[in-house]
Amino acid sequence: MLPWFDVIAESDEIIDLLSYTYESPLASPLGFLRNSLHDLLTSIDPAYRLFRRNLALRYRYSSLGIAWSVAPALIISLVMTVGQRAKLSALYGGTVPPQFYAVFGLFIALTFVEAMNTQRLIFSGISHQMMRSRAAIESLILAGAAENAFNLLVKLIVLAGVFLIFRVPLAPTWPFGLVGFGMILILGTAAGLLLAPFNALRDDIENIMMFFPWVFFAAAPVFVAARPHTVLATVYRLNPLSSLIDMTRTATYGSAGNAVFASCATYFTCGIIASTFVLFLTWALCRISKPYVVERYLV
Amino acid sequence: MIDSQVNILEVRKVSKRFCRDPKYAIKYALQDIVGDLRGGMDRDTLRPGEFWANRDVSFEVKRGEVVGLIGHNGAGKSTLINLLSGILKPSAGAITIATNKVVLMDHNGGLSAKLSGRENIGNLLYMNGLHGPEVAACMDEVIAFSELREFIDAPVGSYSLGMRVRLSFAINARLRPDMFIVDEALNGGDFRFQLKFKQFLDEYVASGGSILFASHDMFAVQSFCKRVVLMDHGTVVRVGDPTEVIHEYTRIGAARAKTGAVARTFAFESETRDNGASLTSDGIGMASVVEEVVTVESVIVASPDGGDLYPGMPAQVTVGCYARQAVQDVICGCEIGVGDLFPVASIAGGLETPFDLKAGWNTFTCTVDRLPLLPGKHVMTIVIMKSGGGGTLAFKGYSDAPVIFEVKGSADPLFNMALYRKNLMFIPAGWRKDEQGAPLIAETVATHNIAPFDVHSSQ
Repeated sequence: MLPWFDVIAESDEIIDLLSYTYESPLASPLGFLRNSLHDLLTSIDPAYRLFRRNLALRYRYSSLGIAWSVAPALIISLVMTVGQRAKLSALYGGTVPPQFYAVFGLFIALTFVEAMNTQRLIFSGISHQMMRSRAAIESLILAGAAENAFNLLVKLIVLAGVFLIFRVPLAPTWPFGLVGFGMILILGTAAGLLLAPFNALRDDIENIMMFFPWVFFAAAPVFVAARPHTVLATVYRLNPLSSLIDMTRTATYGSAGNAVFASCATYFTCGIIASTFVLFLTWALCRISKPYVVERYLV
Repeated sequence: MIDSQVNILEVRKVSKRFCRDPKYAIKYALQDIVGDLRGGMDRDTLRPGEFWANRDVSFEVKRGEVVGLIGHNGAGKSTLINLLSGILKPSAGAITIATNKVVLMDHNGGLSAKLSGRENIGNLLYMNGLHGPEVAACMDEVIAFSELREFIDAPVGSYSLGMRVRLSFAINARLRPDMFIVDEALNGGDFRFQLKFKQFLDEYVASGGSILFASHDMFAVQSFCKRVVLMDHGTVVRVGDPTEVIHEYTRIGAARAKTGAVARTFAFESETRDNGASLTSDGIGMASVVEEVVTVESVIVASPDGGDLYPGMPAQVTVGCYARQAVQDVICGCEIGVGDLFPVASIAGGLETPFDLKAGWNTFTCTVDRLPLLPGKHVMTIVIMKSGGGGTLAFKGYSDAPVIFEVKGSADPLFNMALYRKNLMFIPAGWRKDEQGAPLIAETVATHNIAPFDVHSSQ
């Protein structure tokens, strides 16, 4: 007899009930919350495995291996700094060189787009697994978030080099800048989770996402700073992400002072709470949508 | 509420609606998502373009019980398994499982083709709730059980189907679930694997585990399950004793085949009449046509005079079949199962000189001079096929109920000893004592021992 058989017969563990019904999971909001948190906590281990697996898959069969994680950020930095030596008058970086401004902004935009795309493809990327396994979606979300956090860490290391090259001093409020990057990550994740079910059901989202994020970031203080009282400044003000990008810049390399510290503290505290709440809502949407998305894959 | 001490699974009036029309499908999916966000909606009615994949399905699986789930393709088994696995959500009714340790075992097994066997083991064990030290501790055990040690660090994409099935089986076995949902998991593995898998499931059940066993292999269902659930057109048609339920399954299949065969024969005859073609056994595409025109209608296994069968005595297998048209160059064969093992022996007629079937009734008779089977109940399947790999014409006992026949016992010390020693068969043989009194030298002993079993050394 195999060694694990006696476990079943002698087990006196508390019996957990699994129940699958037609009812909406939101019919019992407290139960939904309890189950969601349970799945989240039990997903940490599998998520870590998935994260490692995804990293292994991404780099195993590539020529540069793990160096690929740094390469895009390095190449972008090089292109932005070397390629803008012409000092075009249209390029404006405010208090910092335009090259530095663009690299910083591009890293923010990339963080958002990567986080969004990872979660947006959460259903379609693992459709074969979902069709034969009850794996909690939280493990996939967490694994994706860990991968994005890893990518952000790599970008921040490269960004530190960019700070040194351009000799831009860090502001005393720079830790708030890291919080800003964290908020970008959370909002990108939330945007991806919001789109994930619709992305799996319709091809339109996939096509729109080919260009939309970059149009969106062209209308935000990413590549060039807006001179005061210009049309560009007005366009930037209409973009909901502009204030977050500006505040992240201010906190990281802006001017010092108690007023700046106070405004950063208020902004990022409220921002983290609000973005986490939005993330929770979009996570709930994904949990509810999952069986219907799988159904579309099966039929 | 489930009585968790008695039942491990309860399915109560479960229905599932599907829509295959892309025009409506996505709209309905969005409607359902919005419905859930609003706290629920009526799902017990069909919308335009929808059909019931499962309707009012109810049954239960007791602790320590093996329940078969059978039904023809499209009967709703896969949908039900997806509902039981929590992959899909019911449109009506409720499924309650008195454990959270349920494992779905099928061909895919959730393996990732790009990862190595070792990485897949780690991932799947983690994803099913085992933790770091546990995974590390049982890694070698799983690898040994899969018998894939030398390939374990190669990508699973390079594995054959049989190797993937073995790896998946070894991982699932280590998960120690309270219940297995087995979905045709025996397919893909070789005979030795199937024996190992069967032995594993036997021991698992003996230790208190429960199994829902979905299969088209009626022999496996008959020999393994205590109760069987028969599904047809999304509903449960019958639940009960395996023999009776499999008979019902066969009856439904036969009725359907007859309807289909008549329709196909009519269509074929119309087509050949229109084209001016004639029905012969030659020509490309003939095999696919004649596949439908022969049915095995009766199988009699008895002594030549029609009496009981006894070990070592003559036996006769009579296969009656109906051919809707003449077919040339045919082979008739049967396979025999003993106890839980199938097949253990085969007999084929027409290999050297193939038979010809005439349109209408045909009978094949196979005579065995000395029956090499021990007392007990045995199983036989029949196949009629075209000679030279031209395709199968008719099956009996593969997707329907096999032929079960009994060999009677007698107070014979040879058979008593063979049964006591759990022999599968006996070899009818004659013995004599050599008069040579001198001791045999070593070479002679080796030759005597090897020669009867080694064709090359005897030549």
